[in-house]
Amino acid sequence: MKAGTTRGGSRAAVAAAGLVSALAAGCAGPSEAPMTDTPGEAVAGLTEAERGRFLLGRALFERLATPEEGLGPLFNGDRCSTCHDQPAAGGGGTRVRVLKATGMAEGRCTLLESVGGDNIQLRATPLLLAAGLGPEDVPPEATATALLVAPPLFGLGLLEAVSESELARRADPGDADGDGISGRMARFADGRVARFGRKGDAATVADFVESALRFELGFTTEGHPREEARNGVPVPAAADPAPDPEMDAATMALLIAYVRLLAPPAPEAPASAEAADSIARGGRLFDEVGCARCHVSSLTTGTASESALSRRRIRAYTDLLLHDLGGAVGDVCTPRAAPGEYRTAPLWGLRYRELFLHDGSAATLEAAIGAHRGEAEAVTRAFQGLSPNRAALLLRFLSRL
Amino acid sequence: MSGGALRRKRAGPAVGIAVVLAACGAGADPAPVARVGDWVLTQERLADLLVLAQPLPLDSGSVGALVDQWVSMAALAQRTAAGTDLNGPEATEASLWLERREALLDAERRARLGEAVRISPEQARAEFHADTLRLLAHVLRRAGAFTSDAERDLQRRTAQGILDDLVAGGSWAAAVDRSEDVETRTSSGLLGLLRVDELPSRLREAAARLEPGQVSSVVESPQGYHILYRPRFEEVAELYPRLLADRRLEAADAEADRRVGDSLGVRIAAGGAGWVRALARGSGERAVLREPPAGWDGGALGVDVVARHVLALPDDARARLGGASDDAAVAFLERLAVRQARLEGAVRGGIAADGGALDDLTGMHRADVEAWRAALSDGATPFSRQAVDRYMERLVARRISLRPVPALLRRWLLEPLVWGVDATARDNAAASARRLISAAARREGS
Repeated sequence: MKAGTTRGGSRAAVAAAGLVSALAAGCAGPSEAPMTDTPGEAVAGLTEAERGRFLLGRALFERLATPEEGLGPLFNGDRCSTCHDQPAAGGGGTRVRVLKATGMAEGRCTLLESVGGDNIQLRATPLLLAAGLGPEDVPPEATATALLVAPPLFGLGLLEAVSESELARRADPGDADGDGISGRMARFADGRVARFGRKGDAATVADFVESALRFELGFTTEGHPREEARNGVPVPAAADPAPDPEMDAATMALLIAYVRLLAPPAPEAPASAEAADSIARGGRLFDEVGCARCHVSSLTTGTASESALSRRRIRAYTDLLLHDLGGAVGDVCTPRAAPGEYRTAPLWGLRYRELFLHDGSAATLEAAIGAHRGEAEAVTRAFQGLSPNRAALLLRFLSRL
Repeated sequence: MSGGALRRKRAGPAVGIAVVLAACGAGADPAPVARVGDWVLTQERLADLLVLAQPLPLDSGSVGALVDQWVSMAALAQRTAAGTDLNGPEATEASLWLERREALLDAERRARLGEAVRISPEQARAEFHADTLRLLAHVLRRAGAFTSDAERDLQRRTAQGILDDLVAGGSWAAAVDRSEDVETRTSSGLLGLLRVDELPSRLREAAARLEPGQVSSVVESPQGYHILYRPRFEEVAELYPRLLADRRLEAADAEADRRVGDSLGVRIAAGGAGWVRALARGSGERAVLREPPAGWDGGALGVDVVARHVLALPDDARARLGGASDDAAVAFLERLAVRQARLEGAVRGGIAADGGALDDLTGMHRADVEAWRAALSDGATPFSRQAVDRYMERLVARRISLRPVPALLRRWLLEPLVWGVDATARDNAAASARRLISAAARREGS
């Protein structure tokens, strides 16, 4: 009996301790994720090992790749920062655009895998050119093409750490609330949520990085050790001097760590109390008009392997869901997203963008808002119905993000 | 800045050598690695740059070169922002002082010895085939003692790829474009006209086997992976006689220098050897010399001339001079004295440096200035602290190539500024970088 009492007491003590700890955690609540005034920096609060991995990953990100190392034979850029360098390494870019091509037949989307895939590589290494082969062509089977600008990578680790339940809470695929805005979680066949990419193209930062390595730089990886075919035809072995896989898992892990740990850019600090007030009023208009229904101002991260990313409130202005923006901005498709469907783009760091929308087709924020149709039609009209002064306040708010 | 020692440049004295400042403030932030004006390079920042620069070897030479470049570019940015004209006469004189002296000495030497070493085309061809002096070029892919195995393997494979391209009929020019030897890349990879035994041991055997027109296999040396090329005479028919003449001129000049030295009766000041060693070690101001370092009948070698020459020496040569024997230090001063006497004689004799060569030098300086300005105006307010930060990041990422500021121009730029480098802090930053890399690797392995 004595022993049983002891065991019972022990269990009670453990349970009580767990409760206290859960309460403590609940009381603490998520803290604001630190943002940076210096784009390209790591999130604050990393351990020495995490910071070392971030910096080594950045060195790789900036490094000029060569065919001997694994570049090509087909590729779009010879280093990651060829495309992701505005305003700093890890940012977006407009200098190089990625050509996508997809097919649509009987309402079904195809990524044209048999004729080279949806990513059209526009450059070829000297060895491939010497073999009489050049960059890829858009296959005749394509029914749509798009020239895309590289998105900024800031804050991706925090977005990855947002829990699925947090996203699900905001999804309304059937527009149950009747506000005209649905929003759905795109999922891969294995059930993972496709939260990255313009059209929900990747579930994790690791997937995103691996795709970029394969399709933009032409590296084979341990997960995908076969070289990309040129419009579906294998490239000659003589044009591909590096042994496969061209990037090992440890090296790729450094790149992934770098991208995961890039800090989100902080909004520009207002120069005066008056400026702060007008920005705050612009922020309220952003909510009132309805922009914030998709570009939600706050998400909370769950548990991540790095404490710097865990239980943080983030100001990314996205719900990471797919929305139908209408035919006007529609182009290529994916198996998970129709031509007019796009994942809500994060708006943090907007002040560093020179062109807007996925294809850089909007030169101003006003033009970008005006291009939002489909589910966003009513919101766009509401913005366009604002008085010039109020519209200017809203745009000012956005241009400081 | 406990324990650190910042060297501060003083305006005023012609030599203007750094002095040691006492450390200050216990318990403050770690000492900055370098300071120029109110801009500092912190230990943390340097450690970050060193990790970002991987696979840069983390030896003191590489780390020191990176710090020196920060100091140079910070000075260049601050002086430019303050309105200094880098193409103005003072800056140009500082930048080209040594080269202009060399151009005048070259003119004097050619006037004195030129006929004796003139090479006819027949002599050049005969000498080429006699094979005592070989003209060699190389392509280098760098790998040092601290290079990781993966990186070393990549560099070896890259070198092999370059060689495969050559064997498949690729051009030597295309191969040299991929060389990482900055000094030879702009001159077709040429190492010069050499006796085979003048090459480092690992290259010697490969070089000895080469026939004209042949390339070596990939050869490993402490610098990395080389491919040697021995051009055919037809490829170097114009260059070879000039290089041969230069080589003979050099030999004749050394002999003539000895004779001039004997006839001048150069006297080295008592304590001169110790003084020049101290100068080379960067502590010259503490050594006082009560007379010119060297003198001869009718002339003397100025302190400033010696100081400029010492400052302009490559780092490794300056370090050797700092630890040289008395005899070697005296020989150094004697050689400078003879050159000074020859220069003065040339001026008296109305000899002038070749105008074309001087124009080339001025053009080279202007091109440097243009490149520095462009590098410090990219993506940030021009010549701001942020511009220097961005420049350093682009440099370590190898997005731009290193364009060092000549030592004498650097000294001139720094003259009105308070500046310093703390060697202890620099070593601490390198240690931090090693720790970050090791910690990252441990995490990877776990």
